[in-house]
Parts: sequence; C-alpha cells; structure tokens
Amino acid sequence: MNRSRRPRILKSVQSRITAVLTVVLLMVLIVNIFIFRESRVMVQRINDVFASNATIIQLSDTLETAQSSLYGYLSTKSSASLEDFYRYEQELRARTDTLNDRVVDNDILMLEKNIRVMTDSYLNTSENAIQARRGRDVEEYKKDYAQASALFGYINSYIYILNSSRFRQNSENYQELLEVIETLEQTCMILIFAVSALALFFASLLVRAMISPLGALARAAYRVADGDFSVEVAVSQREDEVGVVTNAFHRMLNSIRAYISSQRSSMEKEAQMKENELAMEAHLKEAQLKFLQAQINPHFLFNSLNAGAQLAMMEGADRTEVFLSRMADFFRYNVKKTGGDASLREELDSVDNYIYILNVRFSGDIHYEKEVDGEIDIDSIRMPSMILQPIVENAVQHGIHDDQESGVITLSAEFVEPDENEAGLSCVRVTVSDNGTGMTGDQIRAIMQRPEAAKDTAAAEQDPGGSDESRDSNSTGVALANVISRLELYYGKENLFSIWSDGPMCGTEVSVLLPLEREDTAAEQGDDTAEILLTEDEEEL
Amino acid sequence: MKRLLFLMAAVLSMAGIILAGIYVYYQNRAQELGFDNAASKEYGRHYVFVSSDSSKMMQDIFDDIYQACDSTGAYLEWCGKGTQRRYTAAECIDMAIAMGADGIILYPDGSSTLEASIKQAQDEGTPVVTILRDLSDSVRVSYVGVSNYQMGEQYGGWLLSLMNNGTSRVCLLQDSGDSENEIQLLFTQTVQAVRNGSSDDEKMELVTRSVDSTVDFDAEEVIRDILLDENRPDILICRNSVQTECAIQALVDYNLVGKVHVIGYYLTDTILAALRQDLIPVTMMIDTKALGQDCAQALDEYLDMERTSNYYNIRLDSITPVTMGRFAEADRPADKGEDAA
Repeated sequence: MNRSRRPRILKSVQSRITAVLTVVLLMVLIVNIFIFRESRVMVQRINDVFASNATIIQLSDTLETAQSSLYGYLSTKSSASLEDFYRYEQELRARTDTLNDRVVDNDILMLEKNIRVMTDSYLNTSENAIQARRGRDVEEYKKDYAQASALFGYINSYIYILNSSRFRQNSENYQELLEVIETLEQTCMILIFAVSALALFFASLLVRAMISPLGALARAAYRVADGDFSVEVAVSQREDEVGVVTNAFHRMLNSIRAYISSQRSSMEKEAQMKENELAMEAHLKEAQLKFLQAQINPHFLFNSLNAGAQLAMMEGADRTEVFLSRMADFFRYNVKKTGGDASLREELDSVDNYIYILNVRFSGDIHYEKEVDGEIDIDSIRMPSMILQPIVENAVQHGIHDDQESGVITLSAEFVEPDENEAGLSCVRVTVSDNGTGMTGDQIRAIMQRPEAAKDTAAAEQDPGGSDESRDSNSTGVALANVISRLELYYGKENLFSIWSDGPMCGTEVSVLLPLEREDTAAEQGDDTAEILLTEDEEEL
Repeated sequence: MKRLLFLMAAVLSMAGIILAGIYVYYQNRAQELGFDNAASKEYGRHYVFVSSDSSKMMQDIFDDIYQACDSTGAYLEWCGKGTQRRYTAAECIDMAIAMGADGIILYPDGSSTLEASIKQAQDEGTPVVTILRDLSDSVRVSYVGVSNYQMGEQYGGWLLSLMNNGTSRVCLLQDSGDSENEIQLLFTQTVQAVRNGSSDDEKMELVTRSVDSTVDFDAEEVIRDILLDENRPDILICRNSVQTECAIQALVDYNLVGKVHVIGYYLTDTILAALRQDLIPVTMMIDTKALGQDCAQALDEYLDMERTSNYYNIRLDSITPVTMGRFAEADRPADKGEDAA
C-alpha cells in the first residue's frame, strides 16, 4: 500500500543514487551557503566598523567647512562664503538628523545627542552672527562668532570623543569579529568535514544497501552454476532494478527446477517404458521360442515318424515304412548334428535320405548319382555336419528345379593329392555337380564373398540357442556361405570350397575339400562342440 | 533501507539544528559586539557634572551622584571628560548650556568667571548646584557639601590630640580652587577649636600652603618641599585624596613617619593601607552617597518646583586605624564609577 504511494521516480536504483547524491550535494551546498552568508555578514560588519568612523569624519569635515565659510563671510562678507555656509549648514543638519536625540544610558548615543544639540546651537549662534554682520552690529557678531567658535571647539571635542569611542568600540568589535570569524571558520571547516564525512558515510551505506542483494544474487548464481539448484533466493519486495533482477533470477531458478523435475520424470517414464518394452519383447521371444519348440520339436517329430514307421511296418505298408524311417533318420541327423561334426558316411546318408524324400515328394523326378571312391574310408573321415546336404539342396533348388526330368545331380568323392588342390593338403574331394541352370561369375563371386559375413552365422549355428533368422524357410536352413564358413572354422583352412560353372545353362559344380589332417584346435573345438550338443540332445530326449 | 533513510533524515535534521544553532550563536555574538548601540533605558532629564578634578575621590562622588540621578530618572554626564584639552568649569558650563542640559552639578575650580557662567546657565534655564566648594555669591540654586564649621571643629579636635607640648607647627594645604572665603572660614574655625581645647603649654602655629590643582604634579612638588623644609610642620592637613596620597608617599620616602602627622582626606586603597600601617593617624571621609542623593534631590526639586534648599550639609567622618574596619567593609566597588561613566 505504502509502496504504491511512493513516487515512481524513486523506485529505480539510478533514481535512488541520484537522490542520494543530490541530498549529499545539497547538504554540502547548504553548509557552504551558510558559511558564505555568515562570512558576508561578518564582512558587512567589518564594513560597518569603517562606515561609522567615516560618517563621523564626514560630519567633522562638514563642520570644519561650515566654520570656515562662517569665518569667510564674517571676514569678507562674501556671498560665496555665505552660500557655502548655508549649503554646509543644510548638510550639517542632514548629518546630525541621523544622530541620537534622546537621553539614554549609552555613552556613545549621548555623545551623538550632545553633538546634535550643540551643532544646532552652533548653527543658531552662527546664524545670529551672520544676521548681526548683515546688520553691521560689530559687537554682537563678534560675540556670536566667539560663541560659535567656542561651540565649534566643543563639538569638535565631542566629535573627537565620539570618533575615539567609536574607534575604540569598533576596534574591540573588530578584534572580537576576527575571533568570531576565526571561530566561524574553524566551526565551518569542522562542519564541512563532518557533513562531508557523514554524507559519504550515508551515501556508502545507501549504495551498499541498494546493491548488496546483487552480491547475494551473484553467490546464488555461482552455486547454481556449480549445479546446486537447492539455493534459496527470496522474493524481493523492492521495485528497483535490483528487485527486478532478483525476482527474475528467482523465477528463472524456479523454471529450471521445474524443467529439471519434468525432465527427470520424463526420463523415468521413458526408462520405465523401455523396461516394459524389453520385458514384453523378452516375453514375446520366449513365447515364440516356446511356440516353435512346441511346433517343431524335432525329437517329438522324428519319434513320431519312428512310431509311424513302426505302424506302417505292422500294417505291411513297406514303402510307407521306408519313407517314414528315412524321414526320421533325416530329421534325427539334422537335430543331432546341427553345429557339430559327422562322418562322411553320415553326410552321404543324409544326402541319400534327402534325395529319397524329395523323390517321394516329386514322384522320382530327381536324378541323383553318387560315385564314391571305394578306397575312401567314409566312416573315419570327419567333417562338419550339414555340409553336403545344403549343397545338394542348392543344386535341386537352383540347378535343376526348372528341369527336373532331365536334370541330374551327381555326387562324387575322391582322394586328392596336395599338389592337386588349392589347399595344398591331402584331401578327399566331394563334388556335387548338376547340369542345371548354371551360375554367372557374379553369382559365384557373390557367394564366395559372403563367408566372412556368414562366419558369425556359422558360429551362432554351433550354439543351439543361436538365432534362426539366417535360415531360409524353404531350405533345410543352411546357406552356402554358411557352409563355407563352417568348413574354414572346422579345419582352420581356407580355399576348401569352390564353385565352378561355365555360365548359365551350363551346370554347376561345387567342390568341397575335406583335409585328411585337421588342425588340432579346430578339431578339438569341433569335437567338444559336438559332444556338448550331443549331450544336450540326449538329455532332452 | 528504511531504517537507513530514517537515520539519514535524523542526521540531516541534526545537522540543520546545528546549523541553526550556529546561526543563532553568531547572530547573538554579532549583537553583543555592540554595532547596534541600543539603549536599555531612556531618561527624562540630562544633568551635567562639571569638575576639573578627576581624582579617585571625585570619581567616587560622580558615581554616587550618577546612581542617585539614575534612580530619579536623570542621566548624569561628566562634561568634558575624555576630551583632548582640559576644559575649565566655565567652559564646561557653556558646553552644558549648548548641549541643552537640564541641570548642572558643579565642583568649582576657583576661576573668577564661574559666577557669570552660572548666571548665564541660570538665564538659559539650566540650574546649577555646587558641591564641596560653595559659591555663595553666585546664583547657584543649591550647595551640597561639608560645612566649614563642622570641618574646622573636626580638624581642631584632631590637632589637639596630635599636638605635643610646646609649639606645634601645623600646615593646612589649600587648593587653588578653594575660595579665599571658604579657607578663611575653615582656618578661623580650626584655630578657634584648638584654642578652645588646648592647654597653656600647647601652642599651635598654623600656616596654609596653596597647591595649584590646575598644574600637573604640583601637589607632590609642594608637599615634598613642605616636608623637606627645615621648618617642616609637625602636622600636615590634606584637603583631598591626591594630597593625602602624596603626603603618605613622602613620609615613607623621607622617613618622616612619626615625625610628621598627616591628617588625610578621603579613603582610597593607599590611604587605607597607610591607616593599617599607622603611617597616618586619621583621614576625613565625606558621605558621598548622601552627597549624590542631595544633589539629585536639589536639581529635581528645583526643576519640578523652581525652588529647593539652598544648602545641603554632608556629614564628615573621621577614620582612624581603629574605626577603619567599618569603612573598609563598606568600601565601594572600585569599578562602579567606571561603569557608570
């Protein structure tokens, strides 16, 4: 209420400082004016000292000239002297009219009174003398002149006394005046210093009071800059710039706090949402896994197939029994050997089963020929599992798919000397060839350049819990790049896989070199993996 | 902030009060300096005191007359005092007439023209009262002083007490202002008093010596001559305070204490000290207060009623070392007269 009544002009720091400086300057100015005025008064008093004496001297001079004029007239009867006398008489009366005419208890005033009255007597006597001179009454004007001269002497004596008294009094006054002036100077100097000191003191206090909140504000700002948002800045009631800045800082601090709080809440919500999302994803995957497991449990499948085969055998359906048995073997091999190694025989049997199944599906349209060197001990040669079947599958799917009736797939196995292969090792070469659509050079290079990317996939396939994303839904799930990578990982050698084709419609030949001497580490790794997988499978069964 | 502003306002007010105080102080000091000759009292009458004698005794007399006049509404001014030249009583009367005085109190200086001046004053309407020295032949309206008969009786008594067997030489100092008639009367009355009280063995040889008070330092010269003369007196009778002080100093200077008895006149510090030290046996003391009151009364009565008593007698006391205590206690302030003047 009171603040609203305050003049707007006094609310800003600039106005306040201006007001303070104005007050300070006014204080000093008033003191100086006071000193100046008092000094002027004192100087005027000193002037009065000389003025009173000067007035008395002028009176004496006038009286002297009047007496001279009187003497001159009485001596010569000169008109000029008479005129002078009357002129000086007027002047004398004018001067004496300013003198005291009362009987009072003041010596100087009484002197003035006596001079005034005696001057009047003098002028009257002089006038009588002049009149007697005009009337040629010699005795009378001489007597009057003598009387006037006596009075002139008395007046001069009193003027002398008055002048002396005045001078004595004025001298005393002058001395006292000097003391007063000296005291006044000292007092005023002290006053000026005191007022200046007080003014500076109050100006300092006022300015400090005005800007001290800025110091607190700066400290709060430093704390905020250091990350301490708990600093409290009170709302200022002031309406000046400092108050505006303080309140603005207060609002800014509150805004920052609110922003940080909202950000923290938002981040917490986001984290919660991510957590929920991950949990949902995990649950989904778990559900998918469980679903797949339930859907394609291979053990359940091939056990069921075995049960079907036994049922077919009991019912006398031999072909069905064979079909189901071979399907059971195929899937068992797939399950057991995924990610592990197998003998060459097992690989060849798996290919046979696959071809048989395809021929059952496609009414014997797949022409498959197998030529295995008899000297090869296919039981002792170990190799990564699921190598040959994907190659044959590719040949069926891509090589002879469009011309199954005339297409022929040939699988051959033979010894190869070290100088006859790219690996420089004693190997068994297994070749799968077809007379199908063939491949272009780009297609071959594309396949051969993928193993690096497929290594990870291959390694993942060795893990039973690995991802199945890389598998083709239309195949048995193993791509050629994967085959190449597993071969290199298993043997620790490169250049074990090659593709040959003379171009489109010229058939394709895929060769796999199976080194007879395998790197120990790779072999051990493969064995261990196989053992682990086998153990897990058996446990599941 | 508000407290600070309040404090500042308080200090500013204090500074203003101090400034006002300083202003008032210096204004008062300026007033006290006396540039403004303000009178505190106005009088209805203006009396003029005429005396060429400016001794301490006369100063005391003036002071007492001044006080008496002041109490009756009249201002008393010592005419001619402070002037470069020493004016005669006649000139002072002329001055008093010229300045329009209402009355004159005159201590005659013995000049022969005084009667004319008194007459002129009387003609101008200015009454004259004489003190201590009477001008019975003049037209003065009144005389206030000691009667010569009373004074002669007093001197005679003291001479009798101081005279030795045989012939005692007594010197009566006469001031140039004293009229011959007055001195003759005093002389006669003193001799008569001695004669009446002395034995056959006691003889007195009374002489008078004149001191010209118009000549500076004459009193000291005359008294020294008297005391260093082969026929120096056994008793010296002084007629004013100056003569008394000169005689006391000569007694001390020339080792005449006990050899010459000085009958003093009036009571000053020097005379009082001499009494204490038994340098002199006695001093005569007039009642100046009564003198002052009688003077004021005489003039006022005349101016009011155009008549007054022709003669006001003033008591004369003898102060001895035994009785001086009473007078010493009642001794007037030394600066009273100066203040009044």
